[in-house]
Amino acid sequence: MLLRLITFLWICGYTCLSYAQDPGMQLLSKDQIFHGRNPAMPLPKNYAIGLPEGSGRLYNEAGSLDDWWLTTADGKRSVSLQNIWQTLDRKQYRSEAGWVIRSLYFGKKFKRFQLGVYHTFQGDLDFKYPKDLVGLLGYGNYGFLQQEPLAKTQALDIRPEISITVYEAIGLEGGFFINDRLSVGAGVQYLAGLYNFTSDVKVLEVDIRDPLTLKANEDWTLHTADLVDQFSIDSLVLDTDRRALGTHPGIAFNAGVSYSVPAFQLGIQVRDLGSIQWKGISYSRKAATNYSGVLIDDFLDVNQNVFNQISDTLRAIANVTRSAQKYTSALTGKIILDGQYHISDHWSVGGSWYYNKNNVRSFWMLSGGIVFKPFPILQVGSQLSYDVHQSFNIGVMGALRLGFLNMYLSVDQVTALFQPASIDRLSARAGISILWGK
Amino acid sequence: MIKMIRRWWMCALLPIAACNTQDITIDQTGAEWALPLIQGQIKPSELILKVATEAQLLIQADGTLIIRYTGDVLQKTKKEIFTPLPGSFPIPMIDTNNQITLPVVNNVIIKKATLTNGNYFFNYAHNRQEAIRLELFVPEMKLNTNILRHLIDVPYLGTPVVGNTSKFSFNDIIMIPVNNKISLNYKARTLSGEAFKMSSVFFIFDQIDFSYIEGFFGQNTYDLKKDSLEIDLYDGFVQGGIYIDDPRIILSVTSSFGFPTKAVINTFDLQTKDNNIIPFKSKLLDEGLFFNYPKINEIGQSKTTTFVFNKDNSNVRDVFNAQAKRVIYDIDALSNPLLIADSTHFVTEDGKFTIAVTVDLPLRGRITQYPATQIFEADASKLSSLESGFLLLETTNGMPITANAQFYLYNGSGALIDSIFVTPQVIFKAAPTDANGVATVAAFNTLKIPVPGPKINAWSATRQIRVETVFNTPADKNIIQISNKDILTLRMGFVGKFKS
Repeated sequence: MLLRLITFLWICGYTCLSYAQDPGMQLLSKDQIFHGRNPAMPLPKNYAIGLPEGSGRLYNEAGSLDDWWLTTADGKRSVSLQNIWQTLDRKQYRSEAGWVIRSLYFGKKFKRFQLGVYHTFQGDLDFKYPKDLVGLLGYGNYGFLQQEPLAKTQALDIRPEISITVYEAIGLEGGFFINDRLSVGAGVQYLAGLYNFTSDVKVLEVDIRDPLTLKANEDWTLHTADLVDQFSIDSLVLDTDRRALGTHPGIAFNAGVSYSVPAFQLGIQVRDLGSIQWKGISYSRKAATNYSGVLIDDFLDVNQNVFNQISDTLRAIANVTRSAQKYTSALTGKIILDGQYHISDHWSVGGSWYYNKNNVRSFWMLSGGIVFKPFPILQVGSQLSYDVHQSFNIGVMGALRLGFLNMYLSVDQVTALFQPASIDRLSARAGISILWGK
Repeated sequence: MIKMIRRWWMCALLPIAACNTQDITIDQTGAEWALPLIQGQIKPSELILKVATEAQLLIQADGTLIIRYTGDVLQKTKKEIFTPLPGSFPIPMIDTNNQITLPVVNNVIIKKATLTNGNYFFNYAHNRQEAIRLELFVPEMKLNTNILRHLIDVPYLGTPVVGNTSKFSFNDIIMIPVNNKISLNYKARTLSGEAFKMSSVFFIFDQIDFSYIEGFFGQNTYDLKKDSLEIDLYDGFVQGGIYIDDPRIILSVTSSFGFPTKAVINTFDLQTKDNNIIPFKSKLLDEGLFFNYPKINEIGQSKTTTFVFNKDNSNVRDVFNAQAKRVIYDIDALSNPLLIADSTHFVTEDGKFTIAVTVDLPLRGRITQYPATQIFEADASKLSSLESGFLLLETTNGMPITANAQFYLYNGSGALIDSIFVTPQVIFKAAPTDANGVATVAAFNTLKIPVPGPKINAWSATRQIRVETVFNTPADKNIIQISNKDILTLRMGFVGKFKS
């Protein structure tokens, strides 16, 4: 059951890969519209329609899929937790993913101000886990006892931290041009929460020294809204049915300032400052378990099915308290600073600083790049970024304008374009827009 | 519009996620899980009571165990032996002084008795045409230390003069007959004092009962019903045996009758499991079983006599170890067996004999192929989620007995699917013992019961598991002692891989 949950979390991360894009688009922000663009920055044209766009971020501290693959005799590939465990150190590891799918944007620039409305789907997934949790799931308690010397001498701390939020947003943004150079902008989003799953694990220790005794010390609570339908020791049923819009309402705000002259531009914006109120369910358990099986006295006297009795007993000792709960989760708030200097009509350099934070982790990325515009219809560029995970990444970006139709793409890891399974982190974006007017 | 867009995006997103979920799977084939299934301690007493369901189990202070089978308590009460004398017809008092013999049976000569539970009255007739006074008295009966006497004034109301006295109770009347004879006397006088003889006087009673009899008790045989005592210890036996080193049959007689008695053994046999009847023999039987009894100065007490037939004074060990299943006995009691002349004994209202037969089997001996079978309902369809593995069984055994087991799997139709082992395996190893056969330290044993992958499908059709266990003492131990302190502990779990 837990394995299914872990699988789900990992898969969520790699599912996002399909839509992965990056904040390097800030270097194209003068001529392109994209989700996350500074609301204060004037639109490049009087009319703007943003068509589907996907952007995302992925980070897996424990390595890449290439490190984990296990190819079976019949050629099928699967992720080997045992392979992962062998590469890990004794510490907490992170898997993170965030994505935004813009379905539609419409913007209109007027003389002194501009307005825009949009609709998006957004999601964040953060998962922290210790090495022993991977080992336990990969080898099983009996197999792990043979592998991990520490498991023979002490209880194992396998506390994970999990946060998943999926929501859709309908946003309204406006910008006011104070003068030709300075503008300010702000936006508000009505949020409709879709799924949430947040853990609060104070204690989760297992002692596997005796294979004939289940020994655990637990103090945890899982808050979930619509993602988990049933949770018990032998059952995890995910609920992906949609709920009515507004079941889990929320609100968030954006704001930005932009300073722009022909030679350069500067911008700062804060985004997604808000929260969602979830009408959800809490599953909690606070117990010390020491279970060695059905008592033989009951076993010898029992008339009912032996296997049912064992599973009933297991359920009884591992009971999880379920209660309805309303709770609030904050969005992953972001701060983006960006600047760009236009060396000539063809060359520009710039940089950005990106920061976000939620209840599991904070993340920052510093990037600098160059953009080459050989023709008015084409922009290409490259960027070098450095992030909180102490990783340098080389990315590329580009935009193509065919009349009023614009297409853009940005990836912060070039390797991702060729060997997606070999990377352990990625930010990327791709989208289409229509721009016309002055 | 927005609703349509939301639907469109969700439809696009979910298949992609689903596609990736199928493409990227977590490999679980290498994970070996251990899941505890059963655990606990079993005391020898719990095991024994499962096979000897008809028995009591006595746990001695030192932990040693005795299986006890107890027969019905047979008893003979005073009411059964000395039934009330019925007053079936009136006793005529032909003369003024009449001697009558008490209708006492059972070779008893009453020297003193206390009457109870009866009533009497007199019928009279005379032909005097005047009022008279009738005096009725029994010199051998006393009430409150006085001779039993009744004065009846009979008025004259016309001839003929016929009548009955009131009814009188026998309660608390003490009777002291002479050679079982008492006198019934009367005197009839007119009011002027003239004595005369009544036309007729009759003594009429409903019954004469005694709450106490003191006297001479001759030889009488008091019949107690034939009975048997069932032993179920060997019921499960097909082969092999259990050898009890010192089985005992205990005959316990309690008497509150105040006269000597001796057992009259009509039948005392043991029936074996194969229905052979073996006579029980003992030198105690040859010597005669005399029962203790309360003496005349111990009225109200009970005296118990216990006869223990053991391997030293009887053939009980031989007959029991031939797998006895029944003790059959028919024992009567003979009073005054030595026929002591002119002896004086007693019987009280509450007097009785009780005879109880018990069989004690101290658990010291040896066991050969002693079987125990347990059937469990078990819907094993959940086995189909297993890839392969084994059941890990850890036991500690404080008893100096090994247990080998085989597990048979049956489907819903009761047909045998398979057995877990090719041959029965040791589940419990015997604990080592000292020279007296007493366990010194518990023996530990680990057993892996295979759950092979290719068999799981077939085994998952199991709906019933029959566990056949056979107990044996080690071949090098002639006699071992089983104590309730010799605890068995058992832990079993599944270790293996689950299907992904």
